[in-house]
Amino acid sequence: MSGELRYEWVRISTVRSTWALIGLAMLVPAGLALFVSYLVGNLGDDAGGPPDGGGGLSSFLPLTAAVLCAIGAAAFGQEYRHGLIRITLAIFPRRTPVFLAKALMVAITITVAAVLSIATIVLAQALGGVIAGSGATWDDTAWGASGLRAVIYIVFFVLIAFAITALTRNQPLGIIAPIVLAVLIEPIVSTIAFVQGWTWMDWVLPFSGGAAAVSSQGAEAWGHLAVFGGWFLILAIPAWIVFVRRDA
Amino acid sequence: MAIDAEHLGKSFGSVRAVDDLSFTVPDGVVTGFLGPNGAGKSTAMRLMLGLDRGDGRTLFDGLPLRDHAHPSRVVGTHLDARPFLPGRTARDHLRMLATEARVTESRIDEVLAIVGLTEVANDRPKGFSLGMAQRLGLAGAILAEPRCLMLDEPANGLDPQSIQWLREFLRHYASNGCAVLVSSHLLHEMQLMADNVVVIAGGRLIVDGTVDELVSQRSDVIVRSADSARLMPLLVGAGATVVDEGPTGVAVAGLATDEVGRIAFDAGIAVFELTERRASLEETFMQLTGDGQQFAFGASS
Repeated sequence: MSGELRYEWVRISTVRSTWALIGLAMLVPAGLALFVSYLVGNLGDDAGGPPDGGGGLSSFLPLTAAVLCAIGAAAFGQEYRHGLIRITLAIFPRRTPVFLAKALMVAITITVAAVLSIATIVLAQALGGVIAGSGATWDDTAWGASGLRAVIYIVFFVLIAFAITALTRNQPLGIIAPIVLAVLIEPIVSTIAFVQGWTWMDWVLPFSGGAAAVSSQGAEAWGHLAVFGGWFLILAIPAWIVFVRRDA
Repeated sequence: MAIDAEHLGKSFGSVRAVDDLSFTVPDGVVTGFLGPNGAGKSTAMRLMLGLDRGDGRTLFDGLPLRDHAHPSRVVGTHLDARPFLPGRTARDHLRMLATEARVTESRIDEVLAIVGLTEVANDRPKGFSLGMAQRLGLAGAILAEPRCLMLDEPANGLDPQSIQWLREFLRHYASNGCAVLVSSHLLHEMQLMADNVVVIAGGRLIVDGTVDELVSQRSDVIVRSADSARLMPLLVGAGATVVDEGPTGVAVAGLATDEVGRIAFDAGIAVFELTERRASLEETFMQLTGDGQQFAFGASS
């Protein structure tokens, strides 16, 4: 699979949009984090702490992931849109390694981008406190296991965009669907579940569960992340099957 | 390295686009792949490469493409007019294609020079003309120096000089022992470029043979003589098919000029004109494919 991985690396690294999106994924959440941290620092004790109570970092992760979704969706979306998939599959006629190489290269790229984005968010949070005069505060959730879960959360989020695009060959849908699910559909479902007392729903919804994995601790946190990963597989396995079987 | 397509078949719903299609693309020559619009040429090429799922198989030097260690060294393809990302430079596009066979940077420079794109190598091809896009596609096809080429309408959008260059390049490429399959609607050009032709219509094989064989089968002899009425039965008796074309003379199929001249001489009939009338590939193609065009024009008013 080394040839497929080399191909994917050149594919992903030679388009400006990849670097632009990684830059945006660092700057936009960091800018927001700076602003929020500044406000919290200015309001002092009345603010009630970081935005989500469990750690401010997790509030900005969906934004990072949403920006990076386009990189995941482009892995198949660009190729189908511009007919490149026929060149790819003429060079690499075995399709399963192509699918795996694409998923792996997206995961590696997003891991690096996520680490950079989280680092800039943490720096921006600290800088916001300094500007506000309350001093630099370093977000503990960015380190150790919770930091690792934050990175995995972003990677799974983007891989879901990848899988939706691979399944549907529709790049805009691959970008938009995870974002709409995360910020619109799931909050509505969560609210209904809360009103109805369906506590099990916390273990079903992928994106809210993934976000909870960052702010919670221990086995529960990893459990939420496993559910998130499970949703990726539920989408990725059919995507792989149809990719192997359908016309290019 | 020859390409053997065996019993290719593909349906789209109730439409049989390619039906039990078998042919060989021999090495050392250019093979033209001809057929009316909708005949199934592009579908057949995609089937051959395993890009579309269907019936049959295609062997490259006796093996399916997927079983070769380096497929890009086996076959180079150019199937779409603009097979690249508009935002990726021409050089980076080729660098991406170079990864499978570990093609060197110097070879990338070489193919860019071959197709005349050196000056725009670092440009993004979103502004490329169709002709430049075709050149970039061809550069990608020949990058790994494959032993087979499969090109779908590579001459579309090229100016006459570029078409002439393409013809000479492909003939030279084939002369090195490579199998070259080229589909085209430019029949005059194909007559100059190809040694062999595979003609399909309605997804089925019509003819697979050399251009010379194909054209000569539909060529005839025009004989204008002092006594056509007496000459015609003699020619029919010798196994020819004759058609009286009036002042033009008699069209004779099935006999060579020498044979027609000898029969007339033996009968004491003065001959004023004796000419071989060679059919063009275009005429032959029209006769062969007949009403095989899927989306034909209506009658002109």
